Amino acid sequence: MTAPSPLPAPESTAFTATDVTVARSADGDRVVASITAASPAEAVAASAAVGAGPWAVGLVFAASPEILAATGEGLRGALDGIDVAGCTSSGIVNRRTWVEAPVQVTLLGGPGMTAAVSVGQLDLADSRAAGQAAAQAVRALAPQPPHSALILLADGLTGDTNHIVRGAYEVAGALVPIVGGCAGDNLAMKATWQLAGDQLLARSVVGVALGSTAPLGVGVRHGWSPIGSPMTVTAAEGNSILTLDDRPALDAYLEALGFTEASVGPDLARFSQTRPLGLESRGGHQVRFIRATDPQRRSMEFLVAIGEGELVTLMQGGSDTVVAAAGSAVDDALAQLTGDPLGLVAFDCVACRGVIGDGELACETATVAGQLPAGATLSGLYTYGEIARRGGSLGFHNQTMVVLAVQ
Amino acid sequence: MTSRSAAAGLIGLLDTFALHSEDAVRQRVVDSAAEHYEAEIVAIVTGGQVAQATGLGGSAEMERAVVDLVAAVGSTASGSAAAEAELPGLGPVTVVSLPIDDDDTSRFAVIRTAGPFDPAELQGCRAMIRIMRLAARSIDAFEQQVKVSEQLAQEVELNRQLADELAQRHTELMTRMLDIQGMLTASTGPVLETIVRQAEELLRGDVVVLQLLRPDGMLELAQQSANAPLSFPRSLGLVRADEGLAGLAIERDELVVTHDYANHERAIPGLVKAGLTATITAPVRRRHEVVGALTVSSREPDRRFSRDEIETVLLLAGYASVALTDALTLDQRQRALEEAEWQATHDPLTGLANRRLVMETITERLARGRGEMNVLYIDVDRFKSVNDRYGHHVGDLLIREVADRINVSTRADDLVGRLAGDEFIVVFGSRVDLRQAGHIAERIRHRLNGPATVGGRTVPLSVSIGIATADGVATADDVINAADVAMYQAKSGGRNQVGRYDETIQSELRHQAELAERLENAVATGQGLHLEYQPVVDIESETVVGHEALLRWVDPVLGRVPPDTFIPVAEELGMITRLDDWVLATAVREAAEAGNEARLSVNVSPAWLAAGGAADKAAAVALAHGFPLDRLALEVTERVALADNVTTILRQLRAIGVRVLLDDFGTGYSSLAYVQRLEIDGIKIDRGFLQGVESDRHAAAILEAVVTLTDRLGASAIAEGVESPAQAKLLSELGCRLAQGWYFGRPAPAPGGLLALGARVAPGTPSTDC
Repeated sequence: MTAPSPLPAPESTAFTATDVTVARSADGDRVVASITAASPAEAVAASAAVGAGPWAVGLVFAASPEILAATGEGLRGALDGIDVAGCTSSGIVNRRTWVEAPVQVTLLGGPGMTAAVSVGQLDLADSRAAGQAAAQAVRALAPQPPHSALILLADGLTGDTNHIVRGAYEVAGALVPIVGGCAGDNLAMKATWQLAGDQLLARSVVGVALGSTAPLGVGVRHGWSPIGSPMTVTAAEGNSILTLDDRPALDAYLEALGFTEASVGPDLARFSQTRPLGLESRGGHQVRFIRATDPQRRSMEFLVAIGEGELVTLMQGGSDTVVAAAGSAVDDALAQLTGDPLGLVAFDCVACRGVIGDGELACETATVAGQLPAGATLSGLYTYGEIARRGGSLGFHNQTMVVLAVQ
Repeated sequence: MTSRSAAAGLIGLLDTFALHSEDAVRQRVVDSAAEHYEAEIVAIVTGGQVAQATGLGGSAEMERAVVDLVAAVGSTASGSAAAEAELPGLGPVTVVSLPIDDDDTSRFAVIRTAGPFDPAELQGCRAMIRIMRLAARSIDAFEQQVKVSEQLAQEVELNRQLADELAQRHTELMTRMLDIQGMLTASTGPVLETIVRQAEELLRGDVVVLQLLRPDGMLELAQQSANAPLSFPRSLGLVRADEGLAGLAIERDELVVTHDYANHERAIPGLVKAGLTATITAPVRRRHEVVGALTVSSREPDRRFSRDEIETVLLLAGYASVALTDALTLDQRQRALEEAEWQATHDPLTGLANRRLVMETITERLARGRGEMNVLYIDVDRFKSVNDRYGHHVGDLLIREVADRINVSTRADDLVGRLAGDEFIVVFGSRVDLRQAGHIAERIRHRLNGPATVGGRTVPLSVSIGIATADGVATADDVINAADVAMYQAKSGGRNQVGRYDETIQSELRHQAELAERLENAVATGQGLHLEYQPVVDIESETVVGHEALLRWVDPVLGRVPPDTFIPVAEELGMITRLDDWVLATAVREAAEAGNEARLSVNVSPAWLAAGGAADKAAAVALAHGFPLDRLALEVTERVALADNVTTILRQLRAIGVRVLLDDFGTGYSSLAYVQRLEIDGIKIDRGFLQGVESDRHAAAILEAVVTLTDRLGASAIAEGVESPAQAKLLSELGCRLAQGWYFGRPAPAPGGLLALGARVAPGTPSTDC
């Protein structure tokens, strides 16, 4: 499945030097800046040096909670009136494929942009109520902007992200697209952190409502296609599937792939993380990332519940299809704009890094960047599950590219 | 896909029945409809208001538009449930609007931009409404139940309150009532006795009786006052509930007072005769149910009960009710406590003692320190494969079956427990010594040996048992560990055995560990591994037709380790497929290098076959060395029959020309059914079949039958372990054409061990290599 890469692989995904891109609309109404830096101090200094504004909101994606908190605090001190929100990540997205950069700030502002931030706490309320609370940001946008979107940055390791999105959608409504993703912790899968204003949060979902005088575009695509016949979830418990077609789930899954545990070898976890299942839905297949397998219970654990009776199918994909899907997601988002984009915020699945490998990330980044005008910003992060709901359909995705285009 | 995912959405909704509020159910259905039908807006509209919705985003304008749309679609003349419309902000949409209830006060609306709904989706929407209605009904029933329980609790409380009120009016009465109240937590008998005595004293020496209703409709005398005349108990001992005033009070659940007993329609003639003139009888309840009556009777002529007296009887009857209800509650609480205690100490699946109770029992017996204590550790052989192959349900049933069989093999004072998964333990009472424990262990092993039929499946079953004696050990853990070690020993000795713990086991285990480590190294590097080839000959012509490749391991430290020892270790440690790969590749290479036309057979494990890609691997190896696939045979044991998809795997092998031989025939179930089912090309008759065959007519007859049947099934039979000319001659007479064994040629390494096709062997000549 591996296609020849059109670009040479980068020598390293490690960070090398502070990188700043600023894009302004022709009328000066809206500004987007993307700053990738080695430390909170450098990120804040570079942000302050951009000089534009006033800034509505700064999105911070950071490699650790310390960097996240320090960057947030620095931005609030240095940029008057800015609201900040962010989360920890498992790598950041930028034009140079510096995945391992310690921190990235995306500044959104200008007279034509407004923002509001709300928080829902997953440990204090059920996931749905937390989603509702995070979406209150949409109601806080005043005056009512002509165009708006809700960005959710959630802890995907707590609760059920499907319920977060359901709650948020109930509050935000069909006219406000929802995008976002689940925070990371460099693949430790133990604890992630969120940032809202001066609060460093755990087990939370942060909602950033973004209002604009120009259209906002959302794209969501995955590069996976179903193989074989669908299997029915015949027993499930919480976020785990216990049986498929009345057989132990893990056995049915491996057999359908033509593998056994022995032939998979010791790293079953990695094997299954790059071979997701697809949930059949009206609009196609929703990819479901296999978070873990339990060789004792012969079960498979996911990031969200997959109910009994649902149909799931093995999915196949590779670097070529993943990269192509990323390109299509950008196409979709740009098609919703009426003019040139100023910037793109990407929520890309960390497991896709596993599928295409860091070496080919440059190819993906180049595909995405290649669709943007030279001066437009590209920022974003690698997530533990992506969020995108425009109108109907499920809003939680795995191994999928979600982009928000700002005009 | 649409209708399939529509159905999936409905099945997913079945858990709404577990929700306890109507709002929660509606929310579930609304979310589910939005997601499964890709709808921007889903709403439940009741009386022109949105009762539940998603997608409105709190916009009053949008809400109004949706309500209007739902009403418009619902009232179209065509009666169609769906219509095209326009919504501000969303543009053109399809609206489905369906009535939820019969009088059409509520509607379920599904609105989307993603085009019209197909019939399956419309049906799905209707089914969602039905689920909503059913779930709401079950919630109603649940709430009713909650209300009834609350009412009952209130009733008991009312009785207490009534007692309090009345007691305040009568100081003397209050003192007496407090006596009763103080007793209420005691057992029922004395309380009822006190109630009856108090009634007697408070009501001036009249006769007091408390009767309780039996399931057969008779009233039984539960308590009576001391001054009841002798004739009373006899006549009142047992009366029909449809006679007498007590029965009437129970029937009507109300107080019955008469001052003219003789003329009352329900008067009992015997009591009229005894001179009864007036009675008060009040129903007594247990919880909400009337279960008896408290009756005060007088024989005084013209006796009239005062209002206070009547209230006193009512009050006492109330107390009796409280006492009976409390007793019931206490009873239930006691039962609940016992149940909880049982659950904490027993395994829910088998009802056997759990680890906690086993540990406590052993610890307690060790502390008592009287007599020896023996323990069995029982482990089901290859239980995991049962679970894997037949599923956990069958696995659970098998565990229960095993528990039952162990139970019937032990005595009442032996404790049988389940430690975990497929591990059981028996702790014998002090009268069972080691010898008896051994007998019982053998009995259990025997009872648990052979297929078990559970859940309609016939499942292979055997157990390995370890015995340990608790002398000189300190803790329950030590005893269990020792028994576990002995069990492990039995298991590594070939399963289906009983092992005893002794000191040598520990050193044996150390040896095993060393063996495993060295084998791992050998498998990783190939060092010390080589193959020997034993010729397979045509008995008649005494010429070579092929060879069986036999794996040998000579370790620099352990020396020559027999396959019987290291193969099971390799299997257990998951190295066997790598080992099989090595053997296959090496044998094919050496045979190809030998350059003769002889056939080659190679042993492969069930794990290797199950690992997948068997045919691909065989083809790749043969291609690499230019070895024709039709000269290759793979020898498998009956254990492969347990692997999933075995028929397919073997078919794939045969499809590329590789033959499949069933090895060790005669050591397992010896079922020729496998030959047919697995479409085997040939069987290798185990040497055990040949033992004594020259002198034993029965053994010869069995062998002949096997050879003949194999032939009929279109497979060939190859006898193994032929050691004498007599055996060779007999085999030939019985129709067996092919054989191998020391008589025809001992195994030897390549190239000398690989003889040319058709080469004559010199039977009886020992090979120089051995």
